[in-house]
Amino acid sequence: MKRVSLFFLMAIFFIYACSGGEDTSPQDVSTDATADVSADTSQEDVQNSTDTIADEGGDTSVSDGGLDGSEDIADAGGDVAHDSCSYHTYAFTVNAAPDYSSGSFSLINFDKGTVEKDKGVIHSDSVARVYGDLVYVVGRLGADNITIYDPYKGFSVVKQFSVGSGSNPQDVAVYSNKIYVSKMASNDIDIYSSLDYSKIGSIDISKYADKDGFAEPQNLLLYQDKLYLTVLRLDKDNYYAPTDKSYLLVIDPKTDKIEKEIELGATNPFAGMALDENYGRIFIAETGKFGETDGRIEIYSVRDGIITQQIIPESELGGDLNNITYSGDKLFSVISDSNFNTILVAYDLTSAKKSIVYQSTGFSLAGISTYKGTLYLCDRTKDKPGLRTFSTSDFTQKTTDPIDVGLPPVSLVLLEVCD
Amino acid sequence: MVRKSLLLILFLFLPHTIYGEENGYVTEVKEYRATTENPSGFVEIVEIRDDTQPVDISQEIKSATGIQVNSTGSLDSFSTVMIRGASSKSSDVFINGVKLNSSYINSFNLSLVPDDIVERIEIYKGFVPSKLGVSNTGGAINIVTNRAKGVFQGFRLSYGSFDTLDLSLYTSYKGEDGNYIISFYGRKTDGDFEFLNRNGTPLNTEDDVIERRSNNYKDEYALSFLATNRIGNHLSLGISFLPMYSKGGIPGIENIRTEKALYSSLSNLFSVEGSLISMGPIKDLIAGYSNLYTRTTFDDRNGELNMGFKDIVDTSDLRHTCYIMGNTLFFNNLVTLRLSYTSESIDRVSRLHRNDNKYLGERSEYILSLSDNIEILKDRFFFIPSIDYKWVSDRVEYSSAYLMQRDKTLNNSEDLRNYRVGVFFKVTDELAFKSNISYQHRYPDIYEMFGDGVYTQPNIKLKSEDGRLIDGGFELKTDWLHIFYSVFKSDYENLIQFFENSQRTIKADNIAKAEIFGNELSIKPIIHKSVFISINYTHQEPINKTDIPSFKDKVLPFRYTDSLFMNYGIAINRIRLLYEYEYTSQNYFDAANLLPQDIDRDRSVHSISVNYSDFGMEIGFHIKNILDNRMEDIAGYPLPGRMFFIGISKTFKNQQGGVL
Repeated sequence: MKRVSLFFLMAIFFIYACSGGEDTSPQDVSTDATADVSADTSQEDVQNSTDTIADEGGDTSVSDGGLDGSEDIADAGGDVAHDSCSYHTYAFTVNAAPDYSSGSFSLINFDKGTVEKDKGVIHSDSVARVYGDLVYVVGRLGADNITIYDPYKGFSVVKQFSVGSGSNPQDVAVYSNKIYVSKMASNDIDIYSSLDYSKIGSIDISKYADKDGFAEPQNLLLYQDKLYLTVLRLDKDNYYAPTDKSYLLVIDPKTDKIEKEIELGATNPFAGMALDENYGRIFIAETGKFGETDGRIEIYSVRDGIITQQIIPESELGGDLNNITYSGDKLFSVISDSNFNTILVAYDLTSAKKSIVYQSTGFSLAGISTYKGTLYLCDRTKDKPGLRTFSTSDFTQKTTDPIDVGLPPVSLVLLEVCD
Repeated sequence: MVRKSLLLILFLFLPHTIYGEENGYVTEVKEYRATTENPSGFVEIVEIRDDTQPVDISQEIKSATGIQVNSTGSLDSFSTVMIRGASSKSSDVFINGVKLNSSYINSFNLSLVPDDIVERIEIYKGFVPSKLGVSNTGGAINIVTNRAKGVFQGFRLSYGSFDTLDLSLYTSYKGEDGNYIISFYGRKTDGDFEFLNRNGTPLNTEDDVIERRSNNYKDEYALSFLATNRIGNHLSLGISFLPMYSKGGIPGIENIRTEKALYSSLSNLFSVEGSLISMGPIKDLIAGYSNLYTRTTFDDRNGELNMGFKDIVDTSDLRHTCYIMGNTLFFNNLVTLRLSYTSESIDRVSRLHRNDNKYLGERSEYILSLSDNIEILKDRFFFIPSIDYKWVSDRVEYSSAYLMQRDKTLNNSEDLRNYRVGVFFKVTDELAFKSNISYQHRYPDIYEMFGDGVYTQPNIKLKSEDGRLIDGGFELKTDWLHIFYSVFKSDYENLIQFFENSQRTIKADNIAKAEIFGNELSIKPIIHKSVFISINYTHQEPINKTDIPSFKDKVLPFRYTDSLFMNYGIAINRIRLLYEYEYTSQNYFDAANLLPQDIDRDRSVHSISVNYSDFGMEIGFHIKNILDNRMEDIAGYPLPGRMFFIGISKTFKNQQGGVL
């Protein structure tokens, strides 16, 4: 009796625990959002961003659906011409009830200042990514599926397909007509066709498994025609404790071969990756053991193909890394201190200085995302949850009260829809 | 010749009147001590049917008003009970007056009770009677096992769907000074019913497939020995043993198939009780001791349940209870005083992490209960105040490699007081009104207070849950009609819920509140001695009043708002026909009310039974859920559809004590 009751709690809880960091899409399109969700984004800004994508080919190779921090726009119009419509910035928040008994997604239209709370029901442990003109929601352990939404059809469901019962999918990336899915309970990165959603291949990473037989791949990032994958290597038989090492793998999606493996300086990069497109840097948040400040942020140079010398240890940030995002030569992360209070911190890469942006009582801060000078924070404080916004330059909070999105938000992606 | 062996009486549970059966149905309205001792309380008695179909306690208890059972599958699947919408932890389950809920997690799995040895179930709604000596906010269920009613032996054998085989054997002796009954019960079932596997994609029906539930078997055995003996005119002694064993597979949530994950439970209940009857001013004085040992094993060594780890966890739970209770009649007051002491120890070991972990919990409780039945008007008007005082002390030691939780020792103690006032007014011999107001508490269980040493963190500042209840109603008993009606309102505060407090842990907090308003109606017309009709209806409005915005003013999950249970039976010569209809309204799987339960499914169940009796033997054929309606009580755990059973029972009556 007792164990099965515990199972429900554990199932609900563990779904979240294995979900990792709150990576958000690089398609962050910020507005100067206020508590009223009024949008200050000028049409010129939007058009400039669109032009940027068009200059770079406008295809999904630029869209780093797996992580945060770039100045890219999730142009949900993709390659489709939308000259006759207006672009509106949307936040697609992934929400979960405080007890994780249910989940939803909500839509904030910053330009119109509207919020559609709990617009659709999703698995309570989910993460969203934007590729091209579609939103991909990864339903993790207990759902084990991918659900695809079309912003141009009122965010209706295009397709929902299973990636294997109990496989615990973690992240998704889309390159050309291929959908890549990393799964915690599998040593294969599965590849599905985006045309008919059938499985068309896989990439074997069993070589990186630890003694429990699983490699635990997690975050996916697509950048300059390469797929970057973090491999956590946790000991499933020891409460998912980190083992001796973790990896960053570089995969060529044209051949689906692993080109490079980089051993990371710390373990357990569950907190995700952030991308600086200007300098071609990938920031990897390596949490190490929970409750110990043994982790670090490392920087991978795409141009040089190596981890650089600069590291930012958890001890300097003040706690365990939960996620990471990048904007304007600053890194932002929600950390949890020794009492598990969550704090939003900023780290200036130029001055090597840490600042506290926002502090909470308890374990209540979750996903973050940045775009055009605005930092978005998911606040899961029990009696007043919602979305908060801050300036990335001076860290002042733009919202007086969190924007109510219905269920407490866990993470978000930003996208522009021409409607 | 009466055998003089050590035979003891369990005085409290003998019925006051013996019922009569003619052509298979009850002809008299019975009185039970459970109701006469608690005149103002709303007590419902569910008598287990004496026929050939396999008994399922969860199914039997559902027929009562104000009761909800949530199951995870077919016969003998994990099931918990809620009384008047209160959580399953708020309702304690007893067997013959001995509490079964563990102090580790206070929610009891009804499937662990061996079904075929049960005679009746006493349901105390909104209060726990003094004689059971605990403190809780929802109520109590006391399962009363079979009593010796004569000299006979017998058996019951049934077989049916999902390869379910039931066998019970019993021998009973009843003499002038003593009696005993020995029962053996065994059941095995594969539980491999068909269900629709949506493959984890509710928005995509193309990949749906009909499958059989895997690893859903259950094997269950119990032996019950109950003996009583009267010594002299005033002293009686009773003793009982109840060893029980069950083992079953743990199926995964819907699309997760398991092959080997299993749960097993071995327990033994021993109790002894002596009572002095009618000695001077003392109406009766009872002293007793009970010992309940339970060892459970949760085995998911292959990590099939996808909880994120492999483990085999053994939990041993040993509880001793001593009590003394006296009733005295004092100037129209029937005063009852009960004092009990309980000590319980819990030892949990994770076999796959043996070197890294230990968990030892101990709880001691003293409970003093005082109630006074004050007769204001002779046989007409009673005023019944009662108070319980409970002192609890806990100590937990644990150590685990998880998050460096090494060698922790935590202590906590607290005292609680429950108050209750009831009135009972008998207008006529047929019509009575009653009402109660109470203020009660549920002390956190050890898991809530101290965690599990791994994923669940302690919170020793956790407060008891509070419940305020007011109820009222009437009971009408005539020769041709029996109606009872009640209305109740319960307010709960400081309800305990678990929330994440780090990336890898959860913690309990007193964060929730609830308001539950409801009506209960039971109608039993007595048309003819060969006809049985029973209609039970419950309406409740269980509303979440927590300050969490997404939960506030939503319907509490897993609670129905309406429930209807109807029985129609007719006995013609040697044939008994019984039709049952059960309906529960849709509700929600989640606190935010985003996941409606069984949105496309009809939650009504029709069942029929046909029994034929002759030569002291009875043969029966039973169809449950005739229309094959598929439902879920808990998301991802489908319930079975149509089920068939055939059974046979025979009673052999001894020449000295019986007819044949």
